[in-house]
Amino acid sequence: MKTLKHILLSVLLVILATGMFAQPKPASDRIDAIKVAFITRKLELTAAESEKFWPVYNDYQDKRDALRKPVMEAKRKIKNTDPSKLTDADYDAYVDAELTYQEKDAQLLKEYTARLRKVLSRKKVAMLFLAEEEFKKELLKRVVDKPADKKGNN
Amino acid sequence: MSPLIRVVICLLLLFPGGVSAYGGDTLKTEAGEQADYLSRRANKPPKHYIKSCIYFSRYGTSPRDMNGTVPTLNKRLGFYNFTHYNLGFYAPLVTKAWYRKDSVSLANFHLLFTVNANSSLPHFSGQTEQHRLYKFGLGLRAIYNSGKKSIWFFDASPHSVGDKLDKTGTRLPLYSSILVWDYVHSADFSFRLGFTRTFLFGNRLHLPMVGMRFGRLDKRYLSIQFPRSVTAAWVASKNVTLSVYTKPFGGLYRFSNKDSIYIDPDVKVITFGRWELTNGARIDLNAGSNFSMFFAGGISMNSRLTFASPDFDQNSSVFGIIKPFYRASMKPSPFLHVGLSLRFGKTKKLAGDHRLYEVIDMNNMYDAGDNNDGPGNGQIPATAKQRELERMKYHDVSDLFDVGDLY
Repeated sequence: MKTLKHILLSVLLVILATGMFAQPKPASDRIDAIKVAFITRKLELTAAESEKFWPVYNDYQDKRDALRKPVMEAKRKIKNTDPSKLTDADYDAYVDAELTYQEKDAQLLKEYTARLRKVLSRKKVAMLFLAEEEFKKELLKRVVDKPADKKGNN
Repeated sequence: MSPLIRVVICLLLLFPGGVSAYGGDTLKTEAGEQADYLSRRANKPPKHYIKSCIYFSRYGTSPRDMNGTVPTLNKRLGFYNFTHYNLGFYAPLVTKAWYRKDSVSLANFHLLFTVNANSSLPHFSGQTEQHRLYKFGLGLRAIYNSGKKSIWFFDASPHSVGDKLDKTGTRLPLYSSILVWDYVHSADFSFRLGFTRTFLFGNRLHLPMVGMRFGRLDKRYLSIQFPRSVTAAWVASKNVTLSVYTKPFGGLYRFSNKDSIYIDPDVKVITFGRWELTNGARIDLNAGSNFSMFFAGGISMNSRLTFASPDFDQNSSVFGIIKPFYRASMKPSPFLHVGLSLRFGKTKKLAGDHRLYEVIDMNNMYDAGDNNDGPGNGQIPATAKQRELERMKYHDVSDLFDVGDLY
């Protein structure tokens, strides 16, 4: 009985460990939290606005991430595969995925901008577009100003 | 079959593709299948908001004198100390999110499956053979967030208790449940009203629930939730949460009468109830949103235990309060409570959404199995500080940029 218990626990631990390591980078959670603070400050969101804004905005981000995922995967494949092993179909798949993403993202943005206009003033919706751009620039600036990562990622 | 093995089997059944599921993340090599594959991958955001979680904790007190209503039994039982191991698990089964008529209020519904197994070791120094009490339960809970001010929470936790010292006839099914309505006035204040059938106070009780929280769950707050807990917490950083609390901790178990604690030797099974009020300080260490551990210590006060027998309590019914033949109160004792929790599964974004923070708080506070021993709010992201932006590394953010961002 004890052996069975140990075997089952070991199997469970392996599954849990695999699950843990297969998670998205924890940095994505932190970036979300940093973005919340950044946008709240830039847009000077009131408590009432925040309450309505974040669920809609997060929902938009989730849908956009889902649209973007195939593009990122296709891009990664092209970057990480020996060019001699790639076919025209691989390149087409990436370009098509990118075009599909651009098209669908524009529709999605339109849909969610209409929702956000019901929650925020016109001025704040415009500020949101600017704040998103500024946030990316801030991130980029931090990254560019930094010496290369140890693993040579920079 | 021991409760622990049952929990492991349930988890294996629930996640048969624990390892293989990630195979889907690799692109198929056949170029012709690329487009199909990519289109299938599109438009599928994560399903759930709440991460699956498995948590484990250990609680222990030091030996204390028994001061009970039957002096001869006091002598026989001797000193008392208590150790408790708790293993809990929850996973979202169904999550639905939809916009209400105003097209901006996002309502969501969560149905979760819960498992709880624990082992309680009441140690009486006067007894030669010690009792190992167990509890195992499978439950369901439903949470409805209206997307406006109200959140409804319902938990059903049927469970089975018994005594490993003599398994014959000690197994008893019990049922605890909670229904709570939560009014989220703002990120800084919420109010709860509800009803619970609970064994937390070492007896079968039907109690109203009243609670309120002042302050933000991702910063600092004071949460007064009768009869569950009073907690003052400070989310010091993304990795550390400090809190002080007072909460009841107890349960109702079946106890073998092998050692004739009840005077009539023909009575094979009696009921053991215990509860104590734990007053302590706790530190939660969160390594990201997927792993956290806590250490807590303090003083256990108002410690009570009871023994009851259906033979003695002739008027007992499944809804009534159990009348014990023996009650004891103990002196305060220091306690130590440690635990860890693992969360897994990719979830939807919830940063900044305080109603979802409230949903997560309710899900963790009303833990699986009516133990008042939940995993903590490690999934709620702490408010970010400006300096965290400066710590970002290239590989953390590279995927966020498009070519157009450089112009």
